[in-house]
Amino acid sequence: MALSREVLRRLEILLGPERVMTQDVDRLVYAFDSSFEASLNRYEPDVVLRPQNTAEISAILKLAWEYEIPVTPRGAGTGQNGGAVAVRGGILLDLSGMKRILAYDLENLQVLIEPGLVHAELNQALKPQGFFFPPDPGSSKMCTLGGMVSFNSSGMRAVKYGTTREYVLGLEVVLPDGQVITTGGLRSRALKSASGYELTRLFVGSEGTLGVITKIRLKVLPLPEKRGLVLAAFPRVEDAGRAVIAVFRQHLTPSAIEILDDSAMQAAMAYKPGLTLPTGEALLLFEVDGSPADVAYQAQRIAETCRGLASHVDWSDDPQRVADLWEARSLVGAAASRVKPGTTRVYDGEDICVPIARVPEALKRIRQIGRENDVVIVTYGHIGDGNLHSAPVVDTRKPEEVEKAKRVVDAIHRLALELEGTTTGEHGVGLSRARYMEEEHGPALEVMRVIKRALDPKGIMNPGKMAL
Amino acid sequence: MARRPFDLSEEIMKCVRCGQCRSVCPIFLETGLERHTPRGRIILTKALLERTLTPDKYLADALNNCLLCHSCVVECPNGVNAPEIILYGRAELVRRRGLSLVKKTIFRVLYHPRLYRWLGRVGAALLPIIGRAVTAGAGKEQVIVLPSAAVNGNRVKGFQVRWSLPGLAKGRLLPPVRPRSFMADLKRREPGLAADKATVEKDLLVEQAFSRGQARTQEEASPHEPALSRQRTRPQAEVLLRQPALFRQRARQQEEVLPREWDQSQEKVLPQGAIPKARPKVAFFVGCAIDQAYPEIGWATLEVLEKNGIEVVVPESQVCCGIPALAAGDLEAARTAMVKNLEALGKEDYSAVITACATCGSTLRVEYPGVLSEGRPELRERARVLAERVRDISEFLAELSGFTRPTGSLAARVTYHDPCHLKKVQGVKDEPRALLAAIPELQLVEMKNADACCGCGGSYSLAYYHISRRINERKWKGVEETGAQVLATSCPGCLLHLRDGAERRGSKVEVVHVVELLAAAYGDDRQPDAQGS
Repeated sequence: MALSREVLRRLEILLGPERVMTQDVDRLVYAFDSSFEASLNRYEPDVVLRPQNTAEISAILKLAWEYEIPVTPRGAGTGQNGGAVAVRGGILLDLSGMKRILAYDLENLQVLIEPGLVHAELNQALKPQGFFFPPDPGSSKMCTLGGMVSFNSSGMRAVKYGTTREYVLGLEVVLPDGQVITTGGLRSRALKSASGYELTRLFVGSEGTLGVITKIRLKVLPLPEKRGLVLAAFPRVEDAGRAVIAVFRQHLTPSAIEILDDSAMQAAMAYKPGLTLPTGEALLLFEVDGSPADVAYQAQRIAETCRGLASHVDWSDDPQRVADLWEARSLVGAAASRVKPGTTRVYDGEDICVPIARVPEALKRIRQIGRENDVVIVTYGHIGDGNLHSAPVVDTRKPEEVEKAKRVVDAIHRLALELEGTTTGEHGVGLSRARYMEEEHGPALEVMRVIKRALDPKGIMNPGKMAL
Repeated sequence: MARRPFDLSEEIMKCVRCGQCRSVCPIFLETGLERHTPRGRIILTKALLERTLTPDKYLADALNNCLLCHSCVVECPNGVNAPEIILYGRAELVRRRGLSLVKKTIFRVLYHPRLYRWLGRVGAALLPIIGRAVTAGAGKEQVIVLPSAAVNGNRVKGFQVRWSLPGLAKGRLLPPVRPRSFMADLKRREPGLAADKATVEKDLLVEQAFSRGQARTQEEASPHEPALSRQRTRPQAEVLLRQPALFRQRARQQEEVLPREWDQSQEKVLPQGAIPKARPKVAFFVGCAIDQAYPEIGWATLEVLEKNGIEVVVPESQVCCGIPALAAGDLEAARTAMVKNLEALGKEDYSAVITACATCGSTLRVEYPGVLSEGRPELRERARVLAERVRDISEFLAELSGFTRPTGSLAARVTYHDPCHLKKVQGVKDEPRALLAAIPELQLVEMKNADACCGCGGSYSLAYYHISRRINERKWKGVEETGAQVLATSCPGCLLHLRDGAERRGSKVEVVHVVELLAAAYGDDRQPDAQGS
């Protein structure tokens, strides 16, 4: 849909011509995020806006409401499911310029921030003060907190520290009609509340379909004193799964448990040539944190637990080695295409989450799906909560390879549901998982639609997503 | 470094749009716009090549607004060479939209030896008109005074542009006027050094020579005199310490100021030993920045090489390395330049081709094999051979067995700026620091953002000066935090822009090329006069 001159004129009056972008060049670059889905299409918005504050966003939504123009909020556009692209055109809100830390309230374990703040920059600001925001996605250097809240992102440390949801104390949200509300209490700085419907939790993970988040009251925690790492290599991937279960049975609480299969290990070593990793079908990285004594104790117990099943066990609390290993792991996904030259990694089917006990089976089945479709799949992930990231690599220049990729990712999604899991553990539904919503939720999906209609009767907020 | 040969469609495909480049692109960090991210520019180039996007001025702007600094290449988990993709995009734009008359003319002139000299003289003549001379004054603040043009006995720092001109912002500091370019001066003072006197006037001749498979045309190699017996006619480096307190103070132990890596590896980087009996013979590729604007860097390079017993030749028929044309998308002009330089640098079997300009070095090493890989096989091979011989001056000295340590001291607090094209493209970062650390009493301190781009980007700073300045300001903040008195670097482009920044900030920090400091330290066998002069 093309926007009328009147609308564009009003937007330019509101934001100034610099922050209202209608050129083809801009509309094209904002038509993509990291998702496979977006890359198969070209979902260009009609205009890209860069608001700087709540008042501007409220005015924009009032206008959009009046003219029934779709509005798609976007952070850094690093999402993997198409959530940040304007499927029905209209307005794309680039919120990455709204990135201030508005207030530190560390005595009360919280900060007040704007949604465009980049995750790594938040933690950089908190570190000198001895705090951190625990959920840590692999895209930390570039993803925004607004995006993390909208999709309930987590990362490696979710197994101990939980997901973003657990840390959002309150939000300021602009509703589709332009009205501004605060969830979690208008002036509360309390760390918990039993008052009223938990609207904060409604908006967390709502993927921009219910309103635009403009402020986030975020809980933060003191930085652990020390971190340690246990490395265990397993000849068979199923043994890796068993090792994780065994570790939990010991009442140990690692701060992260990551799995890399052998193709992921190859990708990691290709990315960082100096890296040395032991051989095997799967590698587990257990991180433990706390006091130096805690770290040593936990690490040793974990190492002992793994010894029966693993071919190689090692642990370190050397900060450099620990940092190196984490860096390689967090980028294995994007680096996956290095295992097969002439291919690239596609982001789809990349986030299934199954019960921990079914992880070994899932790993086997994924490998089988790869073999059956003749597609190399690099698998790694947060095995501590059953979240597996599969990275199929194909040559996207060839249509038949693209079709193979589509088949593979569909099979992986269906596998997740078959194994009593979910199609998405932390990345969200967006476009990529919309087709599975019915099967995944049944009648509950209709309740979601009721809520959506209640808050957004005109259907302008990020339409075409989540099968709503 | 880029992999050769370059498969464009594969390189574009490798970009998974993860967005990690957003965390390092200096331009994105200033503007926050998606079209200023490497991933955005790749998307645009792809659409341009697939003809799903009109090649209009907005697209041209989006692709031109890139420093080609390679920060993204280093950060990208897949190592996608976005700058190379963008160069392809720019070449495609030129194919479809053409090139402005001004640019076309400049590039034709740049690669024509006589017209190039003429252009240099015209520029030098115009400089005092379009710019106001900025002198260093009585120089009480200077720590180090190195040779440069002098006006009325005062050191001329440069010329500050008087009015806003196309491509030149008002107030920008341009380098000082030189009586003569480095090459012209060299020919006058030390004719033995300038090789291959007879120059090929017509481009056609060079091309014909190649197509006939001939290695050279009708010139003869000029006689070379052994380096050390040459009459010294070049200007001496002056080292003047204005602050006696510094001079009296012993330099702090190197261990305290050097990061561990240099302290221990210094010996490995600069091994002590005998000068090899067979003296290596190298060619010096000057580059237009040093030739026209900073001849003192050229002289310093020659001096430093000679002190180390290296025989240097400065091939006379060399021309601009070609990056200005390549960066503008004028592939034809770039190729012409490259072929000419292959000819100039291929006359003898030099053991190395030395550069003192990070950008020339990276162009010779990376772009020559790349651009010429699409063409005649013999050119491809010659480019590959040339690329393997290219060394930055600091890299070359570090590789020498038997590096001659300077004996003159420079008691100053110095910090080093990594030129993007030296560190990110060529991987050279320890060597310049090791050379600085080898200078007695020099206190080397590291700035937090040592490898952050200075914002110059060569011709980038002409078209996008305002962004260029903002990036430079960030750099200067890092410099000032170190409390350094001297900012050393290895690229005349960075030097130009950093000096402009210094002038804007009223900073007293002296910006110099590493090789200038080294040459000064070699030239001084006595302790400097504590009172200065």
